[in-house]
Amino acid sequence: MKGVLIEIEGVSKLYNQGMPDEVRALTGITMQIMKGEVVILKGPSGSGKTTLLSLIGCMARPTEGRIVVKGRAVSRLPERFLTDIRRKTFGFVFQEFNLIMDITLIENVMLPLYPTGMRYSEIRLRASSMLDRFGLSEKADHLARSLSGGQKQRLAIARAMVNDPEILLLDEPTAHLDAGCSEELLNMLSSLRDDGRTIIIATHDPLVYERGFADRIFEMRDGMIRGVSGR
Amino acid sequence: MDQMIRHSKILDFAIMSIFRRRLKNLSIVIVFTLLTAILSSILFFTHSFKMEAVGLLADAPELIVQRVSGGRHALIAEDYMEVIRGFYGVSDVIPRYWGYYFDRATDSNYTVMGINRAVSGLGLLRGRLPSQEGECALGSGVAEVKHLDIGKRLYLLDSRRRVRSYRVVGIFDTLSRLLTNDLILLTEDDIKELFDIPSGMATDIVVAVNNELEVPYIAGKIKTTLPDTRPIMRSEILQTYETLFGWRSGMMLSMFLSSLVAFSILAWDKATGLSAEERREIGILKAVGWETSDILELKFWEGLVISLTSFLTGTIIGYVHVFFLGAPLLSPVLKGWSVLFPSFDLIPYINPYQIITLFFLIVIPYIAVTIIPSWRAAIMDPDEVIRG
Ligand SMILES: Nc1ncnc2c1ncn2[C@@H]1O[C@H](COP(=O)(O)OP(=O)(O)O)[C@@H](O)[C@H]1O
Ligand SMILES: [Mg+2]
Repeated sequence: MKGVLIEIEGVSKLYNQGMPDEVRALTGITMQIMKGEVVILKGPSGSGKTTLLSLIGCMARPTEGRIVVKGRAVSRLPERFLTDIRRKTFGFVFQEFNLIMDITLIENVMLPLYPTGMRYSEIRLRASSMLDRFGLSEKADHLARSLSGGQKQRLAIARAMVNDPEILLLDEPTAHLDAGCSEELLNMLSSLRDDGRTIIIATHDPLVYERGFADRIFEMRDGMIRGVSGR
Repeated sequence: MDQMIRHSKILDFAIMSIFRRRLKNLSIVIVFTLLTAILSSILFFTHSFKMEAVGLLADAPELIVQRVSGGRHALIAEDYMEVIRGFYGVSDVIPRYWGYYFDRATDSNYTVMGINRAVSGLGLLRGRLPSQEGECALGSGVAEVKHLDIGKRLYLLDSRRRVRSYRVVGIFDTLSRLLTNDLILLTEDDIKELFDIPSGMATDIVVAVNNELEVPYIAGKIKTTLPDTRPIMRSEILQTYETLFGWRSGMMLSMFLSSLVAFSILAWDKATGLSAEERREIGILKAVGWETSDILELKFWEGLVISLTSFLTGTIIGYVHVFFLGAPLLSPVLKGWSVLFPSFDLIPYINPYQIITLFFLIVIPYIAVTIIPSWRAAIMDPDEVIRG
């Protein structure tokens, strides 16, 4: 571990603030994540894991509190700086994948590289080596909709990794996978972790948090952190 | 350089997206193409028509004197010519012999005119003008409906219902068909016999003047000296013509406006209707690192490609419709003319201003209404957009 990468201080999140259907999703979250650490956010459904993950990944903003990523207070930054941070720092693997189903696999992986100065041929090459790495190169020119759940999961990871992000965020990565595929995925994550990448996983799947490859496990309940276990 | 590559990649993605949603986009292109075709037809037609009218009036005599009897146009005695010739400023006085001829066989009206030196502006002729009795020259419209050509014979019924025949010696291919399309040109003697015009009488009199500025003064003097005459100045013809034309262009304008309303409804629908799928896609793009401006650029390219395609195809269709097919879709408005002009061919006059106007009416609003909802989605946090 070489210092703090992400600092979260007193973060709360309200949805539909001020409306009759207001929901308090997170309350007073304070935590630090170190560089190169593998962290699991564990908790039952509705406990606020996804919300916390999106706040960390700059997909949404906290209602209260402060989030600092690599020394920058992202919770106050205007939208255009957040985009930059999203692209350069984070790879986000959504629970529902958020792939574009009617374009090909390789196009999906290329998406994060479109708004960069890289040539078309270059981004295609990068995307295709990424597909190779996740065992999808044979299907590169198939439409994303033709994939099985496990393949979609791998495609989503390939897309998240194509920018070579420092921090990989995964939301319920085993939710759509059978036991065999989950095993395969966890092996893959172990190898990513060995690259020295910081990985944050939100999950309520025992297969993931009982495997013991996380440095720390944060227990969440009702939008709060109820306990931390770890090495 | 990097920026160029970035833009070209976003354009690539835009084109891919258009093809991806080809059904939806094709229907939009079809509707906008039709709209552009209607709008451009109206613009092309009105402009061309105006240009021909201007050409027609340039050739019209400055001053015509008719006699009015009981409120109707009556034959005028050639004696009047001598009186008018005496007025100061008058350079020439020419009698004209002409009349309308209704042809039952083709259900059309023709203008039959005697040839003389007042007949001007008929320069472009295939063959020659009639030079002796029994010869005629025809406007191309007449030749077309009666299936005549040089060397064939034209048969007309005179006022005593006797058949008269004339050999066709020339056909007007004049560019300005408004002027000559329905014209039959005969020698003066032939037309007098055909319409039974007594000797010493004419249909009307053309007065040429030295100085155009004096026309109103001379017209006034004719009116006071010869109270049963009606002098008609070119400027008056222009007014009559503009009234007629104004009415027609009013009809056009209402068609134009209804098209515009249809366009706005469609545009509004498009503006408010960003599909759930499209919204989700915007959220995904933001989530993977596209900036708001990248997404706006994407939507700009999509809008530009779609509206430019519609604009260009629509304009070409409008051009073909008006100038090659004779504007059949505008015919309800043109009915009055189509009797007069059996085949209505306009000369293509293109006004760059109109093309630009059309561009601003079609391309700019479309891009605006497609960008606005995307922009609204693009400035939100990706999390919010994706969940909808
Ligand atoms: N966009 C939203 N609008 C309103 N409420 C939301 C929204 N997203 C999540 N919530 C609510 O916030 C709480 C936490 O949800 P979430 O972060 O998805 O939990 P988890 O991922 O642990 O299942 C839940 O009560 C959920 O219903
Ligand atoms: Mg969740």
